[in-house]
Amino acid sequence: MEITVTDASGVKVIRIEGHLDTQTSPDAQAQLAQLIDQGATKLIVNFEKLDYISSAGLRVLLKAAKQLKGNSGELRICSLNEVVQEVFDISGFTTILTVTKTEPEALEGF
Amino acid sequence: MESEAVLQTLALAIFLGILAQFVASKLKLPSIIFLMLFGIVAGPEVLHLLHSRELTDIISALISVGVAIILFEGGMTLNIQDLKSAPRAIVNIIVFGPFITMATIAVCLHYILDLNWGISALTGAILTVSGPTVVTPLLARVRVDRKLKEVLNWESIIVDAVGATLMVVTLHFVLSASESHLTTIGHFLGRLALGVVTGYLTGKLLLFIVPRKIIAHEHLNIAILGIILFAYWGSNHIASESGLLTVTIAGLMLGQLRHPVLEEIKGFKEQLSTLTVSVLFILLASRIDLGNITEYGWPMALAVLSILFVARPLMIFLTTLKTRLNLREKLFLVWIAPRGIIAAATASLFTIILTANHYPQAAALESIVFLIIICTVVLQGLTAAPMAQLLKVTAPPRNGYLLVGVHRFSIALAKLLLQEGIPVKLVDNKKDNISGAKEAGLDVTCGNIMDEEVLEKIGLERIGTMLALTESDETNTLVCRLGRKLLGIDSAYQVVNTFFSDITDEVLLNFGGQLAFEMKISIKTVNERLENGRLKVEKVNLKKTEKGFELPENFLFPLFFLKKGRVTVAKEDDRITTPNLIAITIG
Repeated sequence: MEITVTDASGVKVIRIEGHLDTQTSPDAQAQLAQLIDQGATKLIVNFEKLDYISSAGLRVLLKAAKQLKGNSGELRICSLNEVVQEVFDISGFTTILTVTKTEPEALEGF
Repeated sequence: MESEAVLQTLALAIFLGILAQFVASKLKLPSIIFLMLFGIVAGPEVLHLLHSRELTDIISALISVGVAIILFEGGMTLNIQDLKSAPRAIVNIIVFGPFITMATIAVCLHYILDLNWGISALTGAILTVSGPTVVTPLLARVRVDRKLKEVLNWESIIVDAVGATLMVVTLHFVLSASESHLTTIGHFLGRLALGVVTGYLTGKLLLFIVPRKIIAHEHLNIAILGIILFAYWGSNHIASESGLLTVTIAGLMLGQLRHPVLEEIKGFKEQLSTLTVSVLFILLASRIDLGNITEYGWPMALAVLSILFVARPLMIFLTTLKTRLNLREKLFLVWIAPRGIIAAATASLFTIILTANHYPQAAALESIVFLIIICTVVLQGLTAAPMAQLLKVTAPPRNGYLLVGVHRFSIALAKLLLQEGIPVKLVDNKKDNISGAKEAGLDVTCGNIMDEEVLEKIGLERIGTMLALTESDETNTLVCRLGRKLLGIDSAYQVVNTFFSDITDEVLLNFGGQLAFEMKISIKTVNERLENGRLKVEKVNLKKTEKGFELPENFLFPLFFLKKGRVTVAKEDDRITTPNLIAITIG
């Protein structure tokens, strides 16, 4: 798994590549927590190059979303491939998080 | 005796008892082997740490209380419904078995060891009982046919009470040789009648108290213990040892109650019973005089063999004549008759009484009984499993799945599990839902799983895992609560339909099943996706690479792992360690 973080007009964009599973999720969680601790309130997680997500990965997103909500911030997810989109749909994640098709869509109105 | 020595003996007996149970469970061997071993080693014959021979009065009282608890707990575990499956053999064994066993053993001991008729008959009476404390764990380890299991369970518990009454009457007869046979039979029947009546009344009292909130919940277990011990004492006070039947019948009646609190009571009594058995066995074993056992030499070995290979077979073949049991099943019953705590406790008590009465050859009684306990427990305990296999009386493995909730997803799972040779049954309470499964030729039942008749109809003999797959998380939790009770806490799984369900991980842990599959999934959404072909449930064979298993592009997550002929439910955060899976994929 690889994580890159960029800044787009005050919004932190986190791109996660590869697998987000039991093995890799602690790293992802640490990076997201660091950004939130540093004061970031608007986060977009771009899953364009994410191949696989497990429940451990979903929990990382859920935790970050809760933390941001507590800081009046928001977490948005974008660019899911069809496998990850299905996982989001059948686990109910699409109904609770803001999920957009593209990154510009996610940035809109942030 | 100094209180320090009493405390040392009791504390050490408790410690060694628990240690023996721990070692036995780790080594998967009958605990009685270690209880006896530890007792003998810590006793006066070897280390002299247990002053049990000086504690006769305390041990006598402990035996009485312990036996009452063991029989009450044993009675509670009996299910009257189960009696219907093999009534004739059980009734014959209970009614005629003790007399046949006692008579045969008495004759063998009289002629082989040259014992007087009194001691021979008394030893025979004591050895009529097989121990529930040995049989029950043995049957938990060795899975035998349900019919045989019922026969052995009923025999071990009911014959304990009947046999105990027989022992007391025989003792009475032996110690008052001037009494007529008619009077002795009268005493026996009188004690039986008294035990039945007081047992029935105690049972009725418990059935009145337990479901009503007459006693505070937190005091209920102790109150029941108090009531049964009082009933036991009361019955014994009128006619000695009639209390054994009293507590067995009271336990049997309470055991039939369908009330949530019953499981709690059973759990409490089971723990108490385990503690009692452990402590008593340590104390009794420590009292064994090894010199007495070896005194008789080879004739003693012959006597033991006659008890194992003449008395038991004769009793089983006579009592199972014209029953539904076949020869292989009868041979297994012949082989399994381990004696336990009741025999040990009574032998010690009677030896104390007979010695006090200067009865000749009294020491032989305790020696023979303990030798039989050691031989049967070690020999039969260790060979029960291979013997069951040799005689082909083992129950089929419980590797089947019961899927609760019938829909596309569960039907797809059932088909794939069947392809792996796993028995699968499905159940749903809506008639419309089950048609698809019926068309697919699956074993499906329509009805509410909470209904005992429906459970009976489904047949859980081969089911080892229950999987609740309905769209309602609450229903799934309730189903798993039942599954935990029926199949064990680790055998009930459920889906949770959304990550944001009210059924939290804590609720699952305390009340429901384990979370099935890699993640929480909406059954409704999965079914919609299966219907429109978006998703598939299929068997997947993964390629192994240097980094681990390579997941195909269309792979969502695993549902089951297939490894060495076993199928296990994939759980949250389980690592993939096998290439063969049943998984959910993009269609």
